Amino acid sequence: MIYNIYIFNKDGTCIYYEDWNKKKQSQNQSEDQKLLFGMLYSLKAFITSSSPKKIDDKTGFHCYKTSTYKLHYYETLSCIKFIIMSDPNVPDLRDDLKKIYSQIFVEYVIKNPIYKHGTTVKCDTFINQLNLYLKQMPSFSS
Amino acid sequence: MSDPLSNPTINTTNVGGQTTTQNTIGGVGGGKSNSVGTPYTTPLQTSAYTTANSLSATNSPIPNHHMINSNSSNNLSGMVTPGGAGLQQQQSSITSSTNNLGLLGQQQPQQQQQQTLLQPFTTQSRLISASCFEFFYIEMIDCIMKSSSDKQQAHKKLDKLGFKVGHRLVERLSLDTALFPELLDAVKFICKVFWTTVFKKTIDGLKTNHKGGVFVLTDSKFQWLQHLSFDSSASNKDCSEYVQFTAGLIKGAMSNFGFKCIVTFDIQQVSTCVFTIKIES
Repeated sequence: MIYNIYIFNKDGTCIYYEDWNKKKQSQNQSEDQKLLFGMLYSLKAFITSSSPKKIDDKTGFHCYKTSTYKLHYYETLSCIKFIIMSDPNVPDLRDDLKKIYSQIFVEYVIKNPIYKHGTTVKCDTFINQLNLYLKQMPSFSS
Repeated sequence: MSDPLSNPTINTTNVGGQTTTQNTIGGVGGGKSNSVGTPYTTPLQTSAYTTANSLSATNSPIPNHHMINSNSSNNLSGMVTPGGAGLQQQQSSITSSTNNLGLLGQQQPQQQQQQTLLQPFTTQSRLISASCFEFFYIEMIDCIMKSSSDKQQAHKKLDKLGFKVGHRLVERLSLDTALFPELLDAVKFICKVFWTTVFKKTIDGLKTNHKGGVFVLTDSKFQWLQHLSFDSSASNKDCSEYVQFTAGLIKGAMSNFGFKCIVTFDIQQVSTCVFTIKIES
């Protein structure tokens, strides 16, 4: 089961957020987003500095799991971060996050002449396509 | 061994008057003389010929082939300067390696190598130019909208730009096409060849009135509006400036076929465009 998705740009601004199936509501969404970004930034730095082996794309940070949820993480070369939170039993979503970036985000946000770089994403087409993609995944609702 | 063969070829390319005479001597060379003549006889291709000339000087074994390729590359360069520069470099490196391989073997293996190596380049260039052009197009329209006093002036500028591009592009596309017996064939050319070159697909629908002076072209998935999306809360959802350039393209193409016309367009549901061509008589 997938709970929500975040997209951060390189400045740490959350440019897109949407939640489904979530049971616990957020008190201050903006504060939660900053907290999440800060945590991920620190976690990535920690993993890089503490790893006994050299970090590369395949061994770098891409998810963590707790007893109640699992966080999937994908960062592009341009420092755009895609984060999905799901229940702990969902398999690795790294490939799906890559597809979301290359086939939905680039096509319907970057190539959209109306979109201003660095602002919150509100494009109808992107939102529709993203929801279509996520909801056709087997792990979305089960 | 190869030196005596390459020298005459260089001379042939450089001296226009002697091209036909010298190429007739050799069977293979004779077959290629037509392609040498075609670009040169078209005034608009003069710059392309110059580029081809410099390339053939470097890679003498098969200069004609390079010239044909250079025309295509040059055409792209005219639209996408940064991308075009990259293409030129790629092309040079590919042809250089081909030239080296050719020196080791006979004439025929040389040609085969030539064709094999050039194929992937062609595919790559198309993919690159499509994406580069889309981004350039976004910036072009943004720039024109900002530099114009009002929307009407911006539309006039875009229409004029499109007219010039369409006029030149259709010259390039119709090199191997026979003369059109009537007006309908010119419009069909726009719907098929022209549209495929610019938008990678054919027009989805073509209607005409019984007199034949008005044509309605429907594109149900207009390429340049596929990625355009407004915010759901947006009050102004007018995106006609992203289609005006295309109306100019059609106008310029028809003008170069000898038909003066007025082209209007209508944006219906998401990314469906209807272009109406009215022939002026």
